[in-house]
Amino acid sequence: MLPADVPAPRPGEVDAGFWAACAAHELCFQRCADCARWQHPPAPLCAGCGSPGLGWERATGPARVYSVTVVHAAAHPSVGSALPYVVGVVEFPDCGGVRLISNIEGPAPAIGDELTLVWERAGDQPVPRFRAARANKGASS
Amino acid sequence: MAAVQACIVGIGQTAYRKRGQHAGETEVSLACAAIRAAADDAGLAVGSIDGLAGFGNDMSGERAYAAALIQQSLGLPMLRHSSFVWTPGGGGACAAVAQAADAVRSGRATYVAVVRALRQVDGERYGQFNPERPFFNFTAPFGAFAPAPLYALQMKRHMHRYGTRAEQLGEVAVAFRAHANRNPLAVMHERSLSLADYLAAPWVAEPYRRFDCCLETDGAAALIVTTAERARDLAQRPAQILSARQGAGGDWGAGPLGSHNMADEHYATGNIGTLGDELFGEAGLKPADVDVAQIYDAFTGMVIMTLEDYGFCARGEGGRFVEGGRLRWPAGDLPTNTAGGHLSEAYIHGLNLAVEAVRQMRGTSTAQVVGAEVAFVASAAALAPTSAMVLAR
Repeated sequence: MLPADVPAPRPGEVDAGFWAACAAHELCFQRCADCARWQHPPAPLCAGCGSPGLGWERATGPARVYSVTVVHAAAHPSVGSALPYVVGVVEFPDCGGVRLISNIEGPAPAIGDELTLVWERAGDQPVPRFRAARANKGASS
Repeated sequence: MAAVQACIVGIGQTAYRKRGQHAGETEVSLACAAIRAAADDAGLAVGSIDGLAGFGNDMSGERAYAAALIQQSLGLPMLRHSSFVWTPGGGGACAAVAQAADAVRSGRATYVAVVRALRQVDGERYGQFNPERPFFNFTAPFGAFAPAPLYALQMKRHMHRYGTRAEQLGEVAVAFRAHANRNPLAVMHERSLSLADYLAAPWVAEPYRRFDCCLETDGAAALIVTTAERARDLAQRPAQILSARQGAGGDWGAGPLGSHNMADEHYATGNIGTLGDELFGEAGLKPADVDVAQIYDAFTGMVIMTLEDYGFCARGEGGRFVEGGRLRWPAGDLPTNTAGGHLSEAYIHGLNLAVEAVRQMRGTSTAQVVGAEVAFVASAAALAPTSAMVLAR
């Protein structure tokens, strides 16, 4: 979907666990040990109860398109050859509805379509991207 | 109502130029030029300024020294107030006016200059890749390098939820361009734009096309704030600040630029919480009392959402509200961005919108709303906390 020379993430203290899981091809989100709330993007404290007791839990259930855009302008040279490409907000209803900005293999799906996780690379870092699940109509490529 | 009335007594700006065309200038030199122009406009000796109020997203490095550098360059003998609004980018313009107003009402300062200068050098362009951009790890590796695709995702959801259409976005762009065509200061003064032109322009990030997106401008704008009592000795009719406030709802996090995990009912909004009611309540007015509006337009969809946020129309009705030329001077019910806005005048983080609101209250706009008594100004939607103000003639 995007070339491997797209800018890579630079893991920091708060999100290192997310990227470490990605390196093992596991998509994990933060989850609070005290109130069980899922959250994304990663933060030092739970936005539900304020607890610092956040761990990493593997995402479960479906991934669906919450919103979607087709990008036609290259704001970084690495994506010039990939235009146009699809950026989506991907929602995980069984993980408290957390949402992840990612890419979806074209053509653009409809809001609500179900997606399948695929792993690609940004530099040396495996990153989660998506393609349409088989069941969707009109998104066959 | 506070016992001491604050007002805006001077306005000024540099030439507004396309990015890169203010060679040899710095943001400090541009800010000084705009402040001098505003002081001259007010009939005020620049050395009388004893306060500086700024905003933006750049209080690091040498920019953290800007107040002292501006003071020295302008030869201000004594500075009694310097404030910088704690919000990113264009969310803070009206909040900076509020801080200036508080400073003069309390007596801590007498004449406060509100200023914003922008010079987008390579590597720091708002619309291009920037390795220092916040929330990099969850945006850049996915090709979301700049605000356009991130705000496009928000607007797409608005269209999905409420049926907002491309022609309604286009109406915002075309209306503001027509206003810019009357304004010699506007970067797009000589460039016409029809709805057909709008629809034929290339996509940036769907649903946003080229003319949904603001300009990249180098330049500066400034205002002088003082009390109504001191204003009597100055050159211009003052614009009274009836209300200037900040506000943000509580579940926003970093919003469209860094989260996209806002509650569904708030996702396609500007996240102002109860700011609209508080703003108009303090002013003793309602949205229907507004004669002319200046609304932050980094993207056309922001205008539609802001109209809903502040109660000019119901939630979801913003697209239909702008139809039929409602935002157009002179015949529309709510002439908006009458100098051209960020889409067609200049992108100065909302302070040029405040300058135009003052012109409207003086009666000197190039798209003057006849008999305008009340002006509304909204800073950037979705940048939390945002800010807004109501001015009166």
